[in-house]
Amino acid sequence: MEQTVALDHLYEGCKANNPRAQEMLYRTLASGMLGVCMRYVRTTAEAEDVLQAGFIKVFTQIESFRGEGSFEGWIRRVMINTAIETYRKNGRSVQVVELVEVTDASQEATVIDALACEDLLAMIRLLPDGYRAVFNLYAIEGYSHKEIAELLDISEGASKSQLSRARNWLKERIKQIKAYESR
Amino acid sequence: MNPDDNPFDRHIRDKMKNFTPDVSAGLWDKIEAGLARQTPDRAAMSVRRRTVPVAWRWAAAAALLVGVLSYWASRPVPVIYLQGQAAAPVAETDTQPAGPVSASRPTRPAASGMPGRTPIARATPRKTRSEPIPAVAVPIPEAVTSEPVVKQMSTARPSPVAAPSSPRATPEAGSSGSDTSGVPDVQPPVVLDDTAAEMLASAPRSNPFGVSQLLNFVVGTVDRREEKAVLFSSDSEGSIKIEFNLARNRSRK
Repeated sequence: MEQTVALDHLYEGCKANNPRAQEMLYRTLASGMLGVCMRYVRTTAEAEDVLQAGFIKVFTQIESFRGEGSFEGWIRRVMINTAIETYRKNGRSVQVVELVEVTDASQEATVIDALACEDLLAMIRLLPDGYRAVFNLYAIEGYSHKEIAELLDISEGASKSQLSRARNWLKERIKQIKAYESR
Repeated sequence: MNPDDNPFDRHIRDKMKNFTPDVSAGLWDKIEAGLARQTPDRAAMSVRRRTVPVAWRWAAAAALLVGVLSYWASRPVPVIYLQGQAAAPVAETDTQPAGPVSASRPTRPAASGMPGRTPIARATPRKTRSEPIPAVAVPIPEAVTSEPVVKQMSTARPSPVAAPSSPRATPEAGSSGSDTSGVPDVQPPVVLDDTAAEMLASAPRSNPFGVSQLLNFVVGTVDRREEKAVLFSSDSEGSIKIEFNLARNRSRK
């Protein structure tokens, strides 16, 4: 609650193009937003490039925030869109593999609890580009398949199949880690 | 949130929710530089934010103004003499026939580029300008001979209107013999021709901070030539006259 009030105050300052408010906003949210960016790219340097471009967009296009939802959520979406743009600019395309039927494997989520954040992030960053974008958008950010399809310029079916394959890929890696540790 | 929230997804989301890695120290500087490139106003604001306070800037500006005005008031002014060589031997004057002053007086080339005019009032020191020398010949004692005059002229402060070589200046010098004893320490005789005397007498007592002087100073900072392209002068009625020297002494408007 206290941070929300502070962010609202900073929003007013950033809207007035106040450099001090902009720096304060950056200091408040940079670390969390870098964590978001790191899930969409493979290296930390790339993630920081995305973070830099994202904050510049936030400050230069702050007028486009219409107050629908939280200011932090809007900044998060700006970061995600910037990451997707970078992803497209680099010539990467989502590898679309249409699946007739999507079947999830057995639920092995409990294994995840034993993993550190950094290990889990490393696995996500190892996902193929198309899988990683869809999995991040759907599983972590909560986008719908329709939104993902529009954002990545793919069909909804492709989004669903990418998600399923991403899950299976991750579960397979988790199994391998568990098997390695149990030996 | 998606309605079909998968437990696997939820576990990963919860795990990653509080992931806050460290950010590089110099990233904000890059963002600020990027913003400055996109918004010039911000660049100006950023510069302004890191400069000295407003009061100090006003104080510096005032000090600069005082310095410029002090320099203007006490600037070195080139002295232009009516005669080129003040130490001309008087003996020569003895042999010269008596005649008009203007014929025997060596005239200095017009420094201001204005033919027919000698820039007495403009280029002479301020003390001289404030007290114009009357256009009359100063009588000298009969004891004054040629040698002391030469000596005094060579050591004394050059007078802008000194005319030692004029026969009218020392009419008795040649006939008084060579007795140099008891010569009083007086300034050399000053004799002006009619034209110079009129100009000197009519020279306006120019205000060093007058508009024309200021304009001339501005022109002089740009045009370093001896002959300025534009020359401002003001008369006693306060009118400002502008003289153009576009063709360097050839044509004037």
